[in-house]
Amino acid sequence: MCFLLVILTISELLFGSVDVSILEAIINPVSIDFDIIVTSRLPRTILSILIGISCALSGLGIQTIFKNPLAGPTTLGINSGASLGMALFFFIPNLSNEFTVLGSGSFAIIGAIVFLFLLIFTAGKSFNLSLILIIGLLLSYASYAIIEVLIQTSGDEGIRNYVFWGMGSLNSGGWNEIIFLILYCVFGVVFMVKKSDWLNAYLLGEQELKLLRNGSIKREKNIILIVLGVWVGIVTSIVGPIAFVGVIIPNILKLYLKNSAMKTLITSSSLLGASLLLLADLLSRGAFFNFVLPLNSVLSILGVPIIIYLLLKKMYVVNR
Amino acid sequence: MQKTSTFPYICGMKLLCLLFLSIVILSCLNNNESVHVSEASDKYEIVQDSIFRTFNGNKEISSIVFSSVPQKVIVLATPLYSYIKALNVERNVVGMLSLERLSGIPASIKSLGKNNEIDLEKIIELSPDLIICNSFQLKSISRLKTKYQILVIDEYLENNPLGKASWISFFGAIFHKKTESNNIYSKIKKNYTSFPSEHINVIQLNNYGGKWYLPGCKSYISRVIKDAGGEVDCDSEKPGSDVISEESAMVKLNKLDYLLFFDYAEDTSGLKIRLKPVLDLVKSNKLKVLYCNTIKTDFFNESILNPDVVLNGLNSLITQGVDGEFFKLIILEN
Repeated sequence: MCFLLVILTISELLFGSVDVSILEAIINPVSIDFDIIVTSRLPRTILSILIGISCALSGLGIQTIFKNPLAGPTTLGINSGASLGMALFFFIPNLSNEFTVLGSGSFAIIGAIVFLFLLIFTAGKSFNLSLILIIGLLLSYASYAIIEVLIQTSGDEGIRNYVFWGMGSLNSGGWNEIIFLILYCVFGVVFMVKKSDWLNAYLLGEQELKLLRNGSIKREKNIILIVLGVWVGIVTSIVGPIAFVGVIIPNILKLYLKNSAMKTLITSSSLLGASLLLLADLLSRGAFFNFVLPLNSVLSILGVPIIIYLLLKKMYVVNR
Repeated sequence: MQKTSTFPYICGMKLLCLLFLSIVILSCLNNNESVHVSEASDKYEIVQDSIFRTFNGNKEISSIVFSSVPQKVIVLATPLYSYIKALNVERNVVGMLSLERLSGIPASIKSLGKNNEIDLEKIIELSPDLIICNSFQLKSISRLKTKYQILVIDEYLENNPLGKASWISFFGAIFHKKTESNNIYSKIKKNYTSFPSEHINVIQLNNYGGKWYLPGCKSYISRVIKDAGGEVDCDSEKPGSDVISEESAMVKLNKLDYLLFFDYAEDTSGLKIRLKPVLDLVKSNKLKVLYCNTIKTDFFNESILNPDVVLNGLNSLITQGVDGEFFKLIILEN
């Protein structure tokens, strides 16, 4: 997986819509080649890796907490919560002026966390697999409905801002956002590694966890979900909603590694998540073909067959 | 036991209802749409012919310094190309977004992608002097901010036909074509004279995805209809469109004299199918359609600097039944 990530990272830097000489870029820092690499390809590569890691690890964390292989920021409506936050920021008059310092990111983060906790409250203690997915779906519908109401009452400017953001793109995000995301990613990865033993014990069952660990399970779960919700919110505010990565990566790894140890899954999810985003970005920005595609379309084309396969496999196991 | 398990559910539902209610209330407060003045001069400022500032309301959205004529211009806000073309400086444009939306573009202009898929590599390769874009595109080119001069123009928010056309003066100053731009604008202003009301009811009513969209009274098209001597049956003072119920649509469609229809198809074949939602609601056996083929006429780009042609054509059509450059009369049997 490390090898795959290295190959894709080099490809992301080498290939693009314009032919660039890496040698020229290194020798001549005032050349166009240097500019293209430093201004476009390098930030895009770093952002792809960071977004891949963020989506994969938040997906892994959410799947573990909800004990549901189909749980993820998209399927549970957490992305929709972040989108609703962004919609409120764009559509409510003068709000973007009042909160310039906090920025749209804070609204996305609040939206993601509110939806995450709404899910927990409405699902109750049972954490029933189907119920959680249904509630996640309903929350997504509620979010879209509210956004639709906001669209109907908003002016052209808000609508265009929201639609452009919603298309999702790795072009968005300057160095400030990238540095902020690097810092949160480092914190997120360290946090997940630190919580890996707790999560391993949690997977055994709450009774077993009580025997093995002290402290409130509910409190620990809430802390983990807040950290993950903030992570999803930050990612969504920078590049728009990113589909499927959070769901498919942990599942592929669980299938092929046949190992549910959290530390292994955290490492491998980070590597595979980053690789998937790099591959999707290479395909979407016309590095191999001479046309550009929306990033989410590429991710959906890659992700939907895997989700269907997982569902069918689960049904097959249940029926057997 | 029962109480403990239902508590989070009730709490969650309360939170959900509270969230929904607060959003509905907040969205209802959204009525203070900014009203645009008749001309665009309050949207920009030119200091000593070299500092160009643009505004959105009271907020400055860009400020650039340019003393010489920009030789390599990138246009990301496609409709703004019309101003550059009118000043005959299109050879200064090196790249554009959504190139396929326009016709007759010189081969020297490179395509830079579509919608928000902006090809930053191609922009850097072209090393432009100036990038012109809308504010909603800024996030997609944020990495270029420190390297290139970026001029942000939100001309799409201008709903007054003359206000839209008056941006030509701003482009005239940038490209050192002040006399030409002033001449163009003076000609447009002279020819754009509002006609007295003929008490002819003209409606542009579209059905998208089962919803009826009616342009507000301050929308571009409502203003043109009114200035052309028509009467507009609009519901709000919005510069955008309102979604109206099917019942309201039925009432309005059965009161109209003409239906204004912007067609995105190649020709009129299949027009009855495209207008089926309208025809289903109209009781009369004939529907008079003021038809505009947006592809053939390139209406959305051409109308920017030809509001006088749009206005006079529409007036001739509704008062004398004479077809114009943009519109023609089609009578559909129901």
